[in-house]
Amino acid sequence: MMKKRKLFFLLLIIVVIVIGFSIGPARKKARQHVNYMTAVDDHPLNCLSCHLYTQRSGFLAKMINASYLSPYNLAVAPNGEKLFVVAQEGNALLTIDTKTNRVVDKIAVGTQPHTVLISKDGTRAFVSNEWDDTVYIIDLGTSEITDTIKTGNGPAGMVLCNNETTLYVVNSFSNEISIFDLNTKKERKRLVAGNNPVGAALSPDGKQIYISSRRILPHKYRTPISIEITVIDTKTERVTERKILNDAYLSENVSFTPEGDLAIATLIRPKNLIPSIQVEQGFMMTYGIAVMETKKNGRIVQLLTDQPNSYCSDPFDIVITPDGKKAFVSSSGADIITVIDLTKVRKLLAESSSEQLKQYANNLGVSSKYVIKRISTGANPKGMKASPDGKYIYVAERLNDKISVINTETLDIERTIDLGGPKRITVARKGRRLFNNAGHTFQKQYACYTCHPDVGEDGLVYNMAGVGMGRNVTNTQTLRDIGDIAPYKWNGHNQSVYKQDGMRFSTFLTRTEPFAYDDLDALVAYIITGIKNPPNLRYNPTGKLTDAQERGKKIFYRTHTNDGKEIPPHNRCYTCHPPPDFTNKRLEDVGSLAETDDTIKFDTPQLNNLFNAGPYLHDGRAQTLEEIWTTYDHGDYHGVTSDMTKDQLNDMIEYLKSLRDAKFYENVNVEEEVKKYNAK
Amino acid sequence: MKLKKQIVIIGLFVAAVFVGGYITSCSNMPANGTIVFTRVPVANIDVEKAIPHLFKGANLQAVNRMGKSGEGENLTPGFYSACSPQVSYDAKHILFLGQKTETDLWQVWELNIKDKSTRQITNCKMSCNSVCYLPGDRIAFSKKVTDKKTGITSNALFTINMDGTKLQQITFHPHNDFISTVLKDGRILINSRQVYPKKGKVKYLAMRPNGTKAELFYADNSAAIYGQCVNEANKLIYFTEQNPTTKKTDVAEVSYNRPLHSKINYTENIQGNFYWALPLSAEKMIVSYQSPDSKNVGLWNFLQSEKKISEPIYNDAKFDCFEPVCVKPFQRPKKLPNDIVMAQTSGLFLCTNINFTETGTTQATKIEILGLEKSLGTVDMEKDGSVFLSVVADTPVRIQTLDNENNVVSGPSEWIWVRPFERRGCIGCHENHELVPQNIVPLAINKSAVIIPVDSTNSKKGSEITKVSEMK
Repeated sequence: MMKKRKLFFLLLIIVVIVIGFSIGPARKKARQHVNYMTAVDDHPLNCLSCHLYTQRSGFLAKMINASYLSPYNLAVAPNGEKLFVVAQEGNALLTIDTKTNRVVDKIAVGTQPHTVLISKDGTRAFVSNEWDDTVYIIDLGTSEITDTIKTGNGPAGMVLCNNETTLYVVNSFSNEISIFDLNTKKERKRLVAGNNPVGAALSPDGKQIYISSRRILPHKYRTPISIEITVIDTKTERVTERKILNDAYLSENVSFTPEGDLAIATLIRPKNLIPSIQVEQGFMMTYGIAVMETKKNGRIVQLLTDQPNSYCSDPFDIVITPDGKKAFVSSSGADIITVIDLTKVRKLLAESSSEQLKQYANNLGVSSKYVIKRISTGANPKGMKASPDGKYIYVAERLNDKISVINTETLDIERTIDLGGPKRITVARKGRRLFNNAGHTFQKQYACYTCHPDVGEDGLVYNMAGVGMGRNVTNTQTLRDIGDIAPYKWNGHNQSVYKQDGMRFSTFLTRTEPFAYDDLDALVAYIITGIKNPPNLRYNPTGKLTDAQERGKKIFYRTHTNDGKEIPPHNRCYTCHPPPDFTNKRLEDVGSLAETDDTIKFDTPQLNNLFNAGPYLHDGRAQTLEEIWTTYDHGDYHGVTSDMTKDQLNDMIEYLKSLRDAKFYENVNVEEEVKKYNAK
Repeated sequence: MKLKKQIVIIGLFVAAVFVGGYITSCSNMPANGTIVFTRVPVANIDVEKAIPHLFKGANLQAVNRMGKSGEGENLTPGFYSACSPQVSYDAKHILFLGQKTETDLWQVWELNIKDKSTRQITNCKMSCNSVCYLPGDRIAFSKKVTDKKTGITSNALFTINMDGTKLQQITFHPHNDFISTVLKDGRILINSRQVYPKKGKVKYLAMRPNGTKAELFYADNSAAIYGQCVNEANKLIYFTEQNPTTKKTDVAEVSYNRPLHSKINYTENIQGNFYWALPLSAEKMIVSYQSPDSKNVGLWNFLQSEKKISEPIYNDAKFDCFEPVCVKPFQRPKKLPNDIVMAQTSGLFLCTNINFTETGTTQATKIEILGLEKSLGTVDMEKDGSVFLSVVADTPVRIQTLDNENNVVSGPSEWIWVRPFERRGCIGCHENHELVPQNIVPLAINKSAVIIPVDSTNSKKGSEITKVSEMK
């Protein structure tokens, strides 16, 4: 009887809601609410898209979402019979039988695994776990993890050398390269790399390692950018050269020709310093490769893989066939593999003057001289590997949970290997595909991912030319963990992600047709639900602060200056930056107004994981956290800092760098913290 | 039981009515894949002067591709003339130019394919010319305009709502502009030819449907480009063009991805002239073709891979056949956002380096902006060669570069214009259109834009804006 009554009331409530939203005043209210949130008046009144698909936890979230594998990088067994695939979201190493095209083994590894290497005898696998700061050594005979090596922060690319007695690990977050003795499993040395290094390649003679990097090197504000390719001598284990790739960033991977005379890295050539007024003519992004002659004083030539009116966005990996004739570049934002004829590239290098070669870097038409095919793939092609005999290229389709197999003779996809991920595409997954694909920008020139790699930010300051051409330059903001911190955009004009990615987004950013509403809903669902910050293992691995961080925290929560004067409440750090997100979600004037800004107040940014989010301030003028106060705040507008000693400022910055994801601070009571840190 | 029987009988009756109605309605409408074209009495036109193509006495004919030559259905029986058919993206309507009587102006009409009804869309005081559907609820067409000050007459492009409201001019240069097609990226492809100060060569320009960002898409040494070009899924664009020396007109193809450097001439080795090309697949197209021994232009199948004419689709000695289109749904191009603000009276123009040209660098120090009647002033370049201008909207200007002695270094350029609030850029003068800009901050944008026409009492450079680095 009780059950029946409950059921009756439940049905009644549903009927009332349905009727209410269909004809009653509730419908009018709902319409007003949707109009406000989306900033348009024709977005469908669909409660589910906003209130169901954006659920981040609990039963509903589990029900509507799915756990995908997301293959990222891969390796082939020396005999070509097995393929080893790093499942980035599945936190697993998958083994595939290349004859049956079936997954035959799944080994659990660490969080967000990045790269896998296989020993020459095919008995061991090395997997770098980027969010665990470890490398696992796996016995492929038993599928057991035999050793765990502690690395620097964010292990990514790896190289085995010196008869596999030495392992080089690229620490992508801490900008270093760790050198391990595999006999002792001890770290022997640590070298300084470029900014956000990721990919690594060993020269065919085993003498050199090239490390690619993603983020730009320190440079004068609003001047041309560059990144570093770090060159290491494997004998001396020293950095012998820091090759500079001018006007480029986000170089994900590098590869050598079999002859070893050329190393080729993928890259993006952004146009962030130019007003983005003529997307028709590549005024936003171009994509290509850096061809580096490895000889002493060798030339570095940048060549585009794009063509007029069509772009190959977000190049990720490059593989060169064992015969050295072809290079394959995965364009993860365009879902294509670009095939480059290296003989033609060599001819171009031999025939062209240095002035011509310089111009090629900005010439969309020149790719017709060396690109011989563009092969369409499934969603988001990432890592690639050639089979030992060079007959096939295996491509990890990250957002398709499949591996495509390209025949290097016919240049067609010969077969596709299903990794066994969920078959249904959830709303958030659809949004993630949209986020990573350039199909929603004019001529597919850039994806959301391009400026927000790994859904963070690319560290560049853009001139979007919303008004005028030299005004309102903006520092790219992270999209990680932003579900609760509206408003959005530096000027705070967007009350929701729906508005942020809506009509004006298409007018001034994507410059093409706006997202269809179901696509927009999916994109928002992904952004709201899907994006965690990586753990802050570099500055706060355990949650326990260091002494310096603890002193810095005291300064963060202080209410009085060193000489005992009370700091006005509005000018205390914690007032505008309260946990858990370390933002009060309001617009504030911190004295950062530039003559070229059209607004005085700016959205208070969240501070979680800000240690690797430079440059800082709305226009990115502060390259470091220190510069915010030492160079750009002379009137105590951005908190009171003028009374601080240098050590105190350093301590405060150490504390800021220790900040982790918002969830860690969910239960922090600000008043108690203030009381605690201001007790006599 | 009785009730059940009755329900079944009624159900069957209703179903029969629906099916019968459907079949009847379908029998009268051109089937998917039908070819519609403009059929013109041979005596009515001089093919060599077919642009602009307002064919007196023409009508729209529908033929089945597999039908016998000469058989067709007149889709516009109530019109004295009808031409330029354009199929809507859903293949339910055909846009065309028509005149009900011989003395009527040519207006834009729309034919409902299902019931053959027509409705007039424009009511212009000058005859309308080339027409196309735009993504969204507007169409574009061309018509004659005369500049009030100079008296220069040209054909400009206009857009209008499907209900005939909100007419807007979108091109503003002394060119004869005719619409060719809408590219998949949402831009209109324009067949454009300068008429002032002297007659120029015919070119294809690509432009957003709001009239912004017009730029060169394709040009060759052709005397005329005929025919509606069509872009297919394989990103190829087909058209016919006339060799200025031999006067032979051929079918050509360019790639969307490299239009300036990818032309393939399919018919140079076939005698006779080709006036229109309609690709149906990667292998086959329909062409308007006149062999040397024929007195009329017929519709023929053409095999691309073999580069040869096969069988005729419609060939009647009394008629010329042009402008074939295929009645089938096709993917709607992108609907591009509109970023112009009609309340504004000017737009901004940035050149990142006036000394950057296709053939190398030059030594100019300033630019001169030329209007239709007179010079609008000179503007000194910044050290990096950049200039930043605020130009009166919807007004044609040309730019030439000058040295210190005011000698012309390069130019004048093509006519350009900016729409209200448009922000437009280029990377150099007579630039290679395949080049993208170098990633540096152009010095000129650190100052306010120089207002054109230049006030001689003011600085010829923009006034300084305090830079961020100098503020504190």
